Amino acid sequence: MTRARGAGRTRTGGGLRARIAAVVILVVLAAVAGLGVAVHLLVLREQVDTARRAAADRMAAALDVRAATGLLSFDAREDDPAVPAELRDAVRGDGARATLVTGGSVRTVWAAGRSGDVVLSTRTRLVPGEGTLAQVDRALLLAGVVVVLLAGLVGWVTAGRLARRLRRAAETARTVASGGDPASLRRVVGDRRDEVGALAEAVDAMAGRLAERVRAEQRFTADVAHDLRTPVTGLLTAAELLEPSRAAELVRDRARALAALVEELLEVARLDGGDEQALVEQVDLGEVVRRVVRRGVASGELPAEAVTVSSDGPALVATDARRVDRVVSNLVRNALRHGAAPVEVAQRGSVVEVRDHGPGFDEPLLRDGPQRLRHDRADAGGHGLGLVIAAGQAGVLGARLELDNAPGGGARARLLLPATPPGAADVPPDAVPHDEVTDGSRARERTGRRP
Amino acid sequence: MNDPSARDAGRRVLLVEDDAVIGEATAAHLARDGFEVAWHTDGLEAWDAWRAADPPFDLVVSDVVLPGLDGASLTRRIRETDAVPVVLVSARTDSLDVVGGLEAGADDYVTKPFDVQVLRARLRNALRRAGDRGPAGGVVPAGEASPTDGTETFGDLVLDRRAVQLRRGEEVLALTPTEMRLFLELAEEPGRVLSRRALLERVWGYGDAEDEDHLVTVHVQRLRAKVGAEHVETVRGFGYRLLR
Repeated sequence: MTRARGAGRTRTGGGLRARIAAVVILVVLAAVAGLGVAVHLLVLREQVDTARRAAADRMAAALDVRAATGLLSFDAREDDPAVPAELRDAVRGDGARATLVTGGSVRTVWAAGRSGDVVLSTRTRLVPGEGTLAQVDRALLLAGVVVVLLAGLVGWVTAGRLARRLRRAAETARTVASGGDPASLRRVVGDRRDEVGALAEAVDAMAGRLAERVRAEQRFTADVAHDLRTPVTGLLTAAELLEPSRAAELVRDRARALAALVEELLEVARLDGGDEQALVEQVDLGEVVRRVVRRGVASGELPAEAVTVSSDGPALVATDARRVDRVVSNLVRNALRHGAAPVEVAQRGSVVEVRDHGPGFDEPLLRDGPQRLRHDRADAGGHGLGLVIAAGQAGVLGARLELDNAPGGGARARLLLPATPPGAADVPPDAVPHDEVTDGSRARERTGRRP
Repeated sequence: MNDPSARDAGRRVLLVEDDAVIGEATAAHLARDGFEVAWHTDGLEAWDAWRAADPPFDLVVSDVVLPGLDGASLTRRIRETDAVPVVLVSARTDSLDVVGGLEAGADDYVTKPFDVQVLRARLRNALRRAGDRGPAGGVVPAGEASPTDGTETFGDLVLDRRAVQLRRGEEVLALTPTEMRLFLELAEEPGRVLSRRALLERVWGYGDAEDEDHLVTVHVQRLRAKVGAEHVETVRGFGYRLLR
């Protein structure tokens, strides 16, 4: 079909999926970290408390031993100058036993008690990073890593499923928008009752209503054209009866213009109907193109010096000559009407290019493709159905019609005929019957025959 | 032969058209060209007029959609007894109408809205084909060396160019002038493929500007039905050829 637009389609990447997975990982990471720290602190405190209790017990025992025997036991020292003043004061003050923990990563657990005038004290080294706490930390870290990875994976998969449904929906919507098969988004996203499903249903409903409106407009166009046909034929036939005069000439001219417009509308309606079929024959594309121009010049419609035709030699192409004729003649007429001479028609292989030297196609046309009856051009001398018909006929031919502006200025339309036209796939390879029609070497290449 | 209106003078045309303006204006054009025109707005009336006509009409121009009897049915009834040229005027875009008319035996058709010049050219071509058929105006194609007795054989078919007759054994096949012309063009050089385009030009006299989808296809079908499908071969994508 027609693609007036250049390349550069926006694609949906994996943005949504990556974002959702990242959020899941971050949240789980924060939770695991918080939990880990809390557990670490609890275990640490428990460890310190245990150490204190043990030290206090030992001190009690050491005091008992000293009181009974006067001996020092349980690594207790008398009046150790290293005992923190705080502890010593506390013990001397109220005569009780006390414990104190000092230090950071390596801690010292002090226990002290008074026996007469003597302060007994013990000190125990405590490294929290060793033993149980270290094991707990390792376990926490391992579990944390596993949980984060698992959560990330689950997030990635779930988000992927969501993103895939949305992406499929977007792709389907884009296909429908560009005139492809009318498909249901609901079917594409599955029948889960969630937000994506609701969105799909809403878009389906919108597309359905728009399609219905377009169909109604097409029907209306077709009906109007049909109804105009008989009175316009009457007008045309009657106008031809007028005696020769300037007035008769004007009436005839306008009646013909009206008849031509009705015919164009009918052609558009037929193309809209979608059951047009190409009648494929082997034709010399160069000759088809030359005939368009020759005929236009002969009928006075095309100024002889305004249109040039070039060809790179005979090219046998399997296509529908009548439809190619319609495309090329509409392109040439459009070029003369909206562009400027000279109009160059060039046939290269199975490609026909029509280029003029006017202001070129305007932006909306390049963006949206040919639209029916546009009147937004300042120089619009006629009804803008020519390009619509050209695009429609190109579609029936299975060809592409590319519209752009030539590097040196001027509008350029290229008709690219397919190697295999629609419905011609079953042409037998030995269908080359006669010298006259097989003269072009391309035919032999195409059919795989040796010369 | 050079002045068409002189040649057409006195020829009788049956015009069937239910639209008052088109009917009146077309009748006026035909009258101007020297035809003697009988215009009817109803298919059945036209059929009655056809049967009552004496001398018979030389040409039938009929709309397709008509009250009473549609153009295709009218053509079919006429074809049961007569090979008179029939040109249909179709107001419908859907080609089923047209194909139906051609299958019923119409020689050609024009589509509304038509240009009077086009209608005139089509009628003239149809009359020319019919005229070619008469023994007096029999065609012996130039440059074609006929066998001494003036006949050629294509399998079980015998073509007598002088009498413009195609026979199978003793039976003379009832071809319309257009079908005969189509056979003659294919018989020019048996085995050679003629494209749709070439046949449109040679049989129907269509110019560069004019093209048409169904005319050739349907006429070839009709010809096949009469002469036997094995004689006319379709060469897909290229055209048709006559087999000996």
